[in-house]
Amino acid sequence: MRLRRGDGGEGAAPSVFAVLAFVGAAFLVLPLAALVARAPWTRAAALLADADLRSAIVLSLGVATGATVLAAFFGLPLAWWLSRGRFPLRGALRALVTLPMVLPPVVAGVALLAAFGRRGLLGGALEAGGLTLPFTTAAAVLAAAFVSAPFFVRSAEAGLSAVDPALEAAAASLGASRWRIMRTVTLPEARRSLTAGLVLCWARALGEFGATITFAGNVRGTTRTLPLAVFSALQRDPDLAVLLGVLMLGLSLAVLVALRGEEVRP
Amino acid sequence: MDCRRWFFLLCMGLCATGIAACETGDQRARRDATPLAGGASTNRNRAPIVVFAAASLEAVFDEAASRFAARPDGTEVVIHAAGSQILATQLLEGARADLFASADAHQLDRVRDVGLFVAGTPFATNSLVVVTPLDNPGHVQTPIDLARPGLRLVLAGPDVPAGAYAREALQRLGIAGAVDAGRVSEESDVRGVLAKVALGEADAGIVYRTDLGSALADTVRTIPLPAAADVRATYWIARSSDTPRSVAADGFTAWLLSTEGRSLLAEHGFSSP
Repeated sequence: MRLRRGDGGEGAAPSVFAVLAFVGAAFLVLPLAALVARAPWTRAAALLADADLRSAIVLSLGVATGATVLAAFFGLPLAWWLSRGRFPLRGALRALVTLPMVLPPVVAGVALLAAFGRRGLLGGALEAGGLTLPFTTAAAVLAAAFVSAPFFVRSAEAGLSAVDPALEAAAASLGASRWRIMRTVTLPEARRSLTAGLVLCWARALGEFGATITFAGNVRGTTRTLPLAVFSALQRDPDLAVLLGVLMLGLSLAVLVALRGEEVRP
Repeated sequence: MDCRRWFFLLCMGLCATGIAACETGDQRARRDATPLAGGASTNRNRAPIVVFAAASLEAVFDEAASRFAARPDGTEVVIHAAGSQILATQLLEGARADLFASADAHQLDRVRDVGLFVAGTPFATNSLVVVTPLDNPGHVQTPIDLARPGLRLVLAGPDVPAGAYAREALQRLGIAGAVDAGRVSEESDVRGVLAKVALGEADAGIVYRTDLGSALADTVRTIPLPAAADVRATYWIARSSDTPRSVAADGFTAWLLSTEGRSLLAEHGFSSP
């Protein structure tokens, strides 16, 4: 029989670990506490009434949601393929689609310019079709989707891989179509990972800054999402930046609460 | 490797970090203590003075710093360049600089009003130009074309001196409404404006005449502003009110205002105030 955690094993850590753990926790918590402590609550109502700020909030929610929808629409089939497909270089493809997750966001922005900018690889073709992406909300959505979609894809892939093949085989033996098996067996079984992936993807998209300001620019009401608004506010009114920071902290906290109990495996 | 060995290495690492931090502290103490006794002649071999400079000054100040350091009465100078509004915010948040060279009086006033800096001196002026990509995708022929709907215009933000001057120029042209339409991408310093135009992502932008001295200048087309809209940007330099390096800092300012300093500024396209 294996010992489970909590069966008396916790005393094994050296006591100095407690000190290091305390320092580590303080380092992670202190800046957030300082942010909240510095928030100009007395000015909060006046600052939040600002129309530009409200447009940034609405835009942020819209961009993050748009990016998540894109990530789910194309990412689920991709995750399925990575999980079930048997093709050469699957590992390489998995690594490639994970890259934006670890790439510096500003590099992601430069890469998006190189691909979809006016002088980018596809820029000419897009422009000929009457579509110029930079400085548009569509560009902000693409930037957010580029950096956040891997969170959904990897989480979904992990969930799909964990579904017991026997269940799908049983459904198939009963004559269910591929679509029906996916709808009634596979996706419900992977539900938790899919939800966690969506929430993580949305959260990452909401916080996106570097790729957005590089590829989509900083246009008030069009591409100035909350992180860009924080950046802009810091140059003029640090109080406003702190307040926006607390707002985003609250949203992040809400994401964590939403993820509670979900299996987070990005 | 066992846990103990890892832990030992970790402790060594922490100790090393601690020692390094202490040394820096000592150096800072020395740096803070010496100026009380020091004169211009003992400036050499001391810690450099720190100059916060507007982004548009970076190239000329880098050169000024090396020329000033090479003088017998000179001192090493470290330049930190960014949008003046960012520098002012950093100073208000506790960053230390011996000198602040701002691209407008407003950003200097922000740090002067709270007593961080003493009254400044105007030392250079600049003017604005409209730039477009070489192929001019927005078909901008005159500055008035900037008001055309659908044009992708990039300006420095309204808090950035370059952005404030640009908006003033647009106002004098009678097309200030063009930038209120919420279709202007805002950069945090003037270099960002030039980069976005040089990349061909923006149809047009407004930058300083002196920015055309940079390597990117060959990739843009320049359209001058009419005399009526020729806004003169004035650069101010001021000394920190509590710097221990006031002698060295004043020395750098005096050098900038000297014949040698003025001719360097002129080489880079700046005019005298």
